[in-house]
Amino acid sequence: MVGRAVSDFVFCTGRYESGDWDSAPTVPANLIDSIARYTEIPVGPAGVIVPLSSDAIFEYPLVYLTGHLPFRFTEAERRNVRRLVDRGGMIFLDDHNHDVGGVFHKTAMEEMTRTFAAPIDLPNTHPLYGAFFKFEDGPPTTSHELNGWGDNLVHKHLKAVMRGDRIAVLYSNKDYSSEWNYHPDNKRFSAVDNTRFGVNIIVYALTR
Amino acid sequence: MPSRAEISSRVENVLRGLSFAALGLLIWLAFDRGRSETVVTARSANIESALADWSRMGISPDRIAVRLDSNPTPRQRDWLAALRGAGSQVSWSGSLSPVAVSVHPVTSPRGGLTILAAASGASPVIVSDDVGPLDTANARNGGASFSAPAATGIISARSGSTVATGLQHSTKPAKPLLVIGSAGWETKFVVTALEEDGWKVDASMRVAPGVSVTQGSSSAIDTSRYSAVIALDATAASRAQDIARYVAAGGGLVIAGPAAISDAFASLRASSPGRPDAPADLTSRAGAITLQSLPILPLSALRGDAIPIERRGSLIVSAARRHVAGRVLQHGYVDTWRWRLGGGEKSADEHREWWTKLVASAAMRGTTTAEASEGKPVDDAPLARLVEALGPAASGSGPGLASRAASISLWWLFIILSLSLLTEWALRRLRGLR
Repeated sequence: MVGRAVSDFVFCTGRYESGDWDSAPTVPANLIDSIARYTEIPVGPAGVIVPLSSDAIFEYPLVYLTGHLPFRFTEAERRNVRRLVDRGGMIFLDDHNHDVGGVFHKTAMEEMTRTFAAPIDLPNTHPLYGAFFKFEDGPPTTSHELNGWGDNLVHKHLKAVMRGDRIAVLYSNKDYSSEWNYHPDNKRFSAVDNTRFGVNIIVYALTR
Repeated sequence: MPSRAEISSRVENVLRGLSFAALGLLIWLAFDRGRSETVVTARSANIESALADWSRMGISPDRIAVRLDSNPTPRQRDWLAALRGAGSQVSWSGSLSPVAVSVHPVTSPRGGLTILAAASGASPVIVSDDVGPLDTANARNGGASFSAPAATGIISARSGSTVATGLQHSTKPAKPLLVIGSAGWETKFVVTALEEDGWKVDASMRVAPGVSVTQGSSSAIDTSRYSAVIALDATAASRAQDIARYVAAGGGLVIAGPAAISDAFASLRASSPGRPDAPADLTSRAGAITLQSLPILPLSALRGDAIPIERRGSLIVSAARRHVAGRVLQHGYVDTWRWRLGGGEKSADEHREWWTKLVASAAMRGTTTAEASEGKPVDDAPLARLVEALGPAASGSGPGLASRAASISLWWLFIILSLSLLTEWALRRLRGLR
């Protein structure tokens, strides 16, 4: 780090004690590949997994969280994520169930409300959707929404906890964790790279 | 052996000679001075009434000697200077504490004041406003600096018995800032910190070739638009020429180590950064990161016109210089965002305040106007102004004592003359006595 003029962006997956925090293990590699592919943001070649209760979490201002199972922070985790957000960090939390009736969604909404504030619908005109690639219609639909899995709904909005006009916690029911959970080499089989919205999330976190 | 009459005659001659000498001296003094010298003295306690008395004398006194144990008020000082202008030889003596105060508005949307007090280290400096004391500090290296978010009325600095007073200055609102850097945590958190402080921040953050995330308008860099430009890394090099023109016109520039590496900033930077330096245990300090534990790009060889501002051991961490009409402040800290996120309880506040101070010290000063003192006397450097008006203090054998000595010698001459004439007359009258 010291030898470089600007430190690398390192993708961080947060490990929490409840639930299955590691349910989408190839998402980090896929998003790192996209950042390196589309931008000149210096990015670490591998992501890190950091316990939310550890002070090491403060090395990573963007933390990715996902899972299928009931979601609860411990007191130490809650204290750390609250401090991270208060100091300008951002949490991206994705419902790997794609199910608004599922346990992850219900418990995650409760936990976000308890820790930060009740999430609100993020307008589809929010700068997040133009941070790098343009998404005129808001959050891109995932194949898991279209093929009837989970709650069989296409969610029109993402949700967010705001700090001023900045997204502090971005919450998705669209199951991007399933959508992006494949080896980066397989992007060549897609007509349109579906991780482009992931680039927007990272660029937004790095610039707002 | 001379007779008694011969001895008496010789003594008469000596006394006559002495009388003529004293008389001649007195006549010479009378012709030289035109009139008898008026010497007056006063002390701090009675100077006000003494000044009034001296001014009512019709002809101003020849010599005025004032013994001071506290600084005269500006009115008294001006009065003494006026008497000096009217022909009196004014001298003063006394051991007065040198104190001066200077009040500067902080160039920041939050406002605030920087109060600089110059004083000797003998006693603490107490800074107050019209409401009461603001802060106290011991003067080190001849002075102390104070920061105050706000103050009421006149600012005063007291050290010992001397009080210096200064006016606050109102300043026009600060213009926005422009932050240029690559899309990354440092740029993001610098912008965040400055916005939290109330600055309007325009930003240009490079994401990809030809693609930048912009905030506000970052088109033309000129002094009518920005109070300061903050160049965080080499991505600012593409606008180095515009920035140089802006600084030359009076703009402020904060240049971080990663930006100063670029030769595009060679004409502006205080130094080319040296080899990186970092505390060995940096990575294990998450949760307790401080400014001092951050890695740095030290400023290795300062230009001749650069002034070191901050050091870490033998290494220079920040320095400032003037570039034509503008100011350049270069710092060598790398990734200050780690301090904000990974520091102690107040690290976000400390990070914000540090950046605010950094930017405020380089940013363009708007037009300032001294606030009215509402009739109260303002004296920013009483001792210096006293010396300016009346000259330095008289030493033990100085004018004050000399004037007294001169007045005493006139009396002695008169006494010598009278005694010698009286004795000579008496000797003559007693010449025939057996």
